Amino acid sequence: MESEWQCFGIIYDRNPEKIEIVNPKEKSLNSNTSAGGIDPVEQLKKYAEDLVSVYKSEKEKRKDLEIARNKLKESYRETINRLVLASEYRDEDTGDHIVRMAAYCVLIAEKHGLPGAEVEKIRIAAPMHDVGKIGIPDDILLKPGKLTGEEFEIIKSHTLIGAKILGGSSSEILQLGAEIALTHHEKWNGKGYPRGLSGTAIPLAGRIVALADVFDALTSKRPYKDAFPFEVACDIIKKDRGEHFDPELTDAFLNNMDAVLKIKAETTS
Amino acid sequence: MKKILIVDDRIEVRKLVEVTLEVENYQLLQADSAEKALEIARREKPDLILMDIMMPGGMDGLEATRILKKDPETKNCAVIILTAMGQEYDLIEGKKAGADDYFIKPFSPLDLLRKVEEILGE
Repeated sequence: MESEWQCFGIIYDRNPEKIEIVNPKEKSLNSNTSAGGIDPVEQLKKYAEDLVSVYKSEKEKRKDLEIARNKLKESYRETINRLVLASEYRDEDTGDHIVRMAAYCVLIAEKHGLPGAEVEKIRIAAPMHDVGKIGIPDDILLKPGKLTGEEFEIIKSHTLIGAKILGGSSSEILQLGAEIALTHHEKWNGKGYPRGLSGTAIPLAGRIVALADVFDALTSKRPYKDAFPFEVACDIIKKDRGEHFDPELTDAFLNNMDAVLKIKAETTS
Repeated sequence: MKKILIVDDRIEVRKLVEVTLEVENYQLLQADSAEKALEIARREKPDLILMDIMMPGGMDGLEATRILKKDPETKNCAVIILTAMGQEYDLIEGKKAGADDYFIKPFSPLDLLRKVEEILGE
């Protein structure tokens, strides 16, 4: 008996507490189970138990995955932010311009009726519009006086440089960033750069950023100029409606000045 | 595709085991008695048999296991015996008969899946 038990070691290994060694003579006394074996309901209960345990561990895994996904998203955004900070490092004291213009972009995109996911992409991608400035030499980027024609041509190349830095990625955000970098100086009337695109040939995100970027530049103090009052800035934007800017987006923006003022107040340090 | 023969007199149990193992890509056969199990095993040469012990009729699962494991035609087929709680003595008899492993009913379907995968080397 003993040796047989030991040679059947798998029983002992697998489920020691459940196994009772029953003397062969007692077997008949113990055989109170019906000839058909166990009640299938008992077996069904085991299935239900396993289902519950699988469900619980699934739920746990989903939670862990969600946390991991959020961390990844967060670090992705932070990396983008730092790339933007690097590109702004030489000519921008604070990151305020970036934060503000991204908020203006979100406002315009929302009022224009873009779905939430698209708005979110623009929120993250818009700050990358000027990363190409990283490739512009100091003496031109930081020149206090008026730029020569040749220097301005070099400044213009920040759109191409930005598109080159961000382009070719499989990330939708970086693709959008590249598109914005390339097209945020195009004008509705076709007189912008680098390609002179006009109307809806300019990608929507580029049109949105163009408006937000100019408006923030007008209403911010720069080394070479004071901030324009809001009313003046609005007038300038209005005059350029259908010239520099997409008319529909311009309306969406100018019709929501209270929200614009709120953003300005909240994002200026 | 690996072949598995499910032997149990209760159709409910066979059905439950079938549904469980269908998750993996196995070919599943069924028998409701030890006699039929022998017949199908000889004909189909399954890779694994899940063998209930107590079944009505002349032969029980232990006897069928013994016969299968002695026959050179079928001895390479793995046998997992299934026995009801309270019948643990069968396990020792099952081991003697040549069974490769066992489950006590009611069994955990997850454990069954894992054990089958382990035995079939998936």
